[in-house]
Amino acid sequence: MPRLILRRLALMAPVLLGLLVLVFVLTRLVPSDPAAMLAGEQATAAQIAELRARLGLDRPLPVQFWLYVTQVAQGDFGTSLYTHRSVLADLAERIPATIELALATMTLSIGLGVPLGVVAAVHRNGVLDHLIRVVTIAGLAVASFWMALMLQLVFSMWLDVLPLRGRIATGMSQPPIVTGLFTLDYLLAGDLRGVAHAAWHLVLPAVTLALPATATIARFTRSSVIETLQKDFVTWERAIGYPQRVVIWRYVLRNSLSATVTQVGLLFGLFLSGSIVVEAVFGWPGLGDYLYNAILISDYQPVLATTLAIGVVYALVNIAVDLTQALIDPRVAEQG
Amino acid sequence: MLRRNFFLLAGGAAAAVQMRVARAQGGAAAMVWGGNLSRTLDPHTVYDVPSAFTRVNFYDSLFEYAGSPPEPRPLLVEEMQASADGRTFEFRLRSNVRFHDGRAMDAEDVVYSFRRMLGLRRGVAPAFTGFLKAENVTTTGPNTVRMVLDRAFAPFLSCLPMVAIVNRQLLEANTVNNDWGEAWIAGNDAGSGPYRVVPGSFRALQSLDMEAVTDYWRGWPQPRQIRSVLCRPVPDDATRLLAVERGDIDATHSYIRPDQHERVRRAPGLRLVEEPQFRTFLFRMNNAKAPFSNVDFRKAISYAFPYDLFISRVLRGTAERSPGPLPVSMWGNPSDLQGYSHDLDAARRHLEAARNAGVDVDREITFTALVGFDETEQAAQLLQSQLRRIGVTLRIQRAVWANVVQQTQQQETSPEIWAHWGSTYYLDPDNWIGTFYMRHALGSQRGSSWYRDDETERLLQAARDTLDRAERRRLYEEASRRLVDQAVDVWIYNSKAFRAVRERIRGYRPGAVGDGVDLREMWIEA
Amino acid sequence: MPLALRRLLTDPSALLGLGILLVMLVCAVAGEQLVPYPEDAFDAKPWQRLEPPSAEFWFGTDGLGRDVFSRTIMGARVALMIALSVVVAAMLVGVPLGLLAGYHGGWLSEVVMRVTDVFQAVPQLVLALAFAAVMRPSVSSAMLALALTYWPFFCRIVYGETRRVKSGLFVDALQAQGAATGRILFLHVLPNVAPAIIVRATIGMGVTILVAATLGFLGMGAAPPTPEWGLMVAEARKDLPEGWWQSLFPGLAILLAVLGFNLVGDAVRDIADPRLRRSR
Repeated sequence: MPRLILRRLALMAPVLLGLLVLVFVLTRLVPSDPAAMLAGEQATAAQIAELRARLGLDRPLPVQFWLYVTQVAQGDFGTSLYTHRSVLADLAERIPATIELALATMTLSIGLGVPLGVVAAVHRNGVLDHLIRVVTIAGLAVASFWMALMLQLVFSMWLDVLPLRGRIATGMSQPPIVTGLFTLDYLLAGDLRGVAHAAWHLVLPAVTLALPATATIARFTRSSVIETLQKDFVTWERAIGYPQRVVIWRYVLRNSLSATVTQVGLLFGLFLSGSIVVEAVFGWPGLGDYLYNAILISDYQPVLATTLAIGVVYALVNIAVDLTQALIDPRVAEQG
Repeated sequence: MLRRNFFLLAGGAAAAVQMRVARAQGGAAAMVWGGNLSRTLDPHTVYDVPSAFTRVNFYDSLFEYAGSPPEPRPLLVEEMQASADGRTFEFRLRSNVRFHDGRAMDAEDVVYSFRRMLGLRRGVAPAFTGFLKAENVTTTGPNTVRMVLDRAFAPFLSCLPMVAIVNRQLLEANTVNNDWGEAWIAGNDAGSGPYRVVPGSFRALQSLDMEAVTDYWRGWPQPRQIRSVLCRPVPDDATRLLAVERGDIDATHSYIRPDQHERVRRAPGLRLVEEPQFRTFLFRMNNAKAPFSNVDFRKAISYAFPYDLFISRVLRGTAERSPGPLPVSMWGNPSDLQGYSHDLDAARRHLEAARNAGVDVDREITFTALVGFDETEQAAQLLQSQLRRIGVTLRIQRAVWANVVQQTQQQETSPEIWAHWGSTYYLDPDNWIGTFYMRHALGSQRGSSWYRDDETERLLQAARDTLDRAERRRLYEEASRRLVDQAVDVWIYNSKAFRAVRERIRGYRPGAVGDGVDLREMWIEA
Repeated sequence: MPLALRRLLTDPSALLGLGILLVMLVCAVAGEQLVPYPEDAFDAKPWQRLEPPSAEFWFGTDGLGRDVFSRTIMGARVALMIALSVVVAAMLVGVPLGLLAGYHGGWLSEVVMRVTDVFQAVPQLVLALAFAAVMRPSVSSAMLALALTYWPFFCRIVYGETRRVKSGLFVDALQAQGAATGRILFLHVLPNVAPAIIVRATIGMGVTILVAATLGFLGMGAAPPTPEWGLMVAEARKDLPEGWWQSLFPGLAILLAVLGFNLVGDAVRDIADPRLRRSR
């Protein structure tokens, strides 16, 4: 197993380097001059040229890339042209926000998706099954930016029961940062009102993001439960008189779990792309929002750093998924 | 399971209601300001509508705007003497002014501030660089400053409120690589004003906490001062109004769209403040670039825009048609100026004339609309649909303000046509016509018409040089007519600014310039 | 195939999907003839702004007085055009590369697969945004950005399928007979790989409509006044909650269109390639 982990991690490096090359070239193709932007409104041509030289922007592209990579290797992800803040500091603030949203989304989609899938499987081809099927297929077809707006419209604007945007109400003070997850940090600070507040702000963005994930999980749980139900040992368990409920929750579900775990990697991809629009709509100060704004103003250092961060997280999640799968089902490890 | 979910929901709703009540009752000492924030708190390098809010409240300046209509009046200056030729100014400073670190302000601070502003060459600097050199700002004593202008500049005193006086020692202590302390002051203050930055609270464009300086040298006119001000801009148009309706913020920015005016007026606890500053709205055309370099082509565009429909329907009549570069009620605007009206036949005629002059009028032209200011995009789409009828293809692209500013630095990258507001920075016709159409503006967003005309330059320079109001009026009228004849830009309207403010905020008076409201005069009704 | 077709036509959800796609196709082909105000695709009418849904304007009007119903229907063409060209372009690149890499193995397959790894190292939308930012926003830039980021999906599928087919005995036999590589690939391998491609392409149409609309919503896709659904929702956002109709209907159109492709894709998967039934 450790060898498997090492190999997967080693394979990650060239892929991430390739990603960096690709995005680096893209950011340099953008018709925008970072030096002019940094120099400001009234800068003279000479000032801009001087700045360009200082930033190394007048060197050949491969040299610039090399400079960038050595800079990153030293843990320096540069400075935002726009906010003049260190990109690393920005990321450190924003990554926990996205993680908190991801955790809420995952909890919600597994908590809803697995039971839905089981119910559908048990009532296979019944009315409930068809109903769940329609809902899950529709869940995958909804544009998340639109869902986000519609949820805002109904629950925030019309019914006024859920907050419109942000992680906490404006004017409310942040918890003392320990983990960066506001719900947890408020809890650590013993501020229960804060916990409720932060959790309440999570609801709409998490529901929006969880919709396609729930649909996927429900569908996979359904098919794997059906498959397991047809296996001999289940028939046997039933024959010796275990109640249906016990059989399903204790035996069938455990056997179907590995199929669901494989989906987490895919779901995480869905989550990451969904988070770009959902964070933008809900003003959630996370990675997706950061990346989108950086692309919008062609602020190249944050674009590169965020893409890299997303790539790392994505790869790690996929490795974790493979490992979990290997733990559940040793045959995978042999193939790996 | 269904039932459990229901309870969860109901419990959550109750919690939400409780939280709202708590919010309404508690925290009366803090005001949440929802206006925009700049990307730096540096008072010298940025000069725009949002930055006035922090500049006015963190810093003091030699002069301030006061009264109605606002006029420049001495603030840090106790006594001033000006020479008859309008070139030499002697200022004697107040002696009781202290910076936030307790140090007394002296003449060196004033000299440092002006030299810093001129040396960084950004923000307000362009208003001064044409007539003031850094070495001509000097101390003549511990408390006296002399400024010698290269030539007279009529609106000089009107410009003085723009220059914040900073704590020289604090900035020098925080200067790295000869940057005039720019990196440090971006998130801190070095002022003497009624408020100070809560250290570490500034996030560019996102948030800032301010706290009152209790022993402010001018004192506090309101017994219940606002101790704490939290700046929490709401960046998107869609949620801004909801945020102020719910009391998440106490005031919005000043671009509330006319479509929303009724809603603000009807909303309980909310009022719509009309800020009586002049704000013009215009399309800038890159006069140096074909096909816009042709006057007939520019006239065709000018005749194609449906001014009246735009003002009466999209703006619901809240603005005033402004046919020339100056706001209609500003002195210097010719009262009989006709300008252009929506007339597609005239547009076609001028387009034909341009074609006959060898201009490629069939080329697609690009309009740059500003992200976050949907009105610019609506205006662009209106123009687009009219131009389509005369056979001109307009494509619309969106760009962020900062990027447009960068593009306007060079003639080649400057937008072909784009829309913006000409806000009041100082109350003088020069604010609109001089900073837009004189040569020194080239290379900044204000000069993005890339207009070069010797006669206009002469007129506008003459209007700066003389102190005779009647003569200046005549010169500005002539320049306005000339600019309109040449259809340099498409001037559309001037309007008041509109801001939604919660009623619990009392004593709110609009700032004379941008968001520069004086927080000292305000209090919060419990 | 007739059997497959019959099965498709007896599956109620597939029928529903086909029905939706048929309606969408009609809208895409004959949009202007179907709608009451075809000129509203580009014409602003500020005198009738923000009218709620009525007999005259079924879906109301938008901030520039344009009929939302007309624009929603005409949006079908834009969506279908983007989806079709992106999927076809991605297939034209991905399928041959996948075939070659899977068949030859060796360094070629290494290179191709590592490149697809790079493209799939982040979700498609992230890269598509980076690509789109390089170009001026328009429908064609959105198509290009999506096609450039979508081909690796086809490449990988075809690669895997080709390797599977290649291990089958008949390929060895063909090679032994001295058949040309191109002939083997296109006449013998491709038909065996085709079902998997068709399934992914159908689902891919739906996915592409979603991602393209997202680009439009974020201002990196279609440019105004194109009646593109994502852009329409974005333009309507500032009028919430009063002008809700402007955002509601284009979003429902996206939902229906993607639903159509997903339903048909599901059914096609069950019929064309039972092995795929359990994967995504």
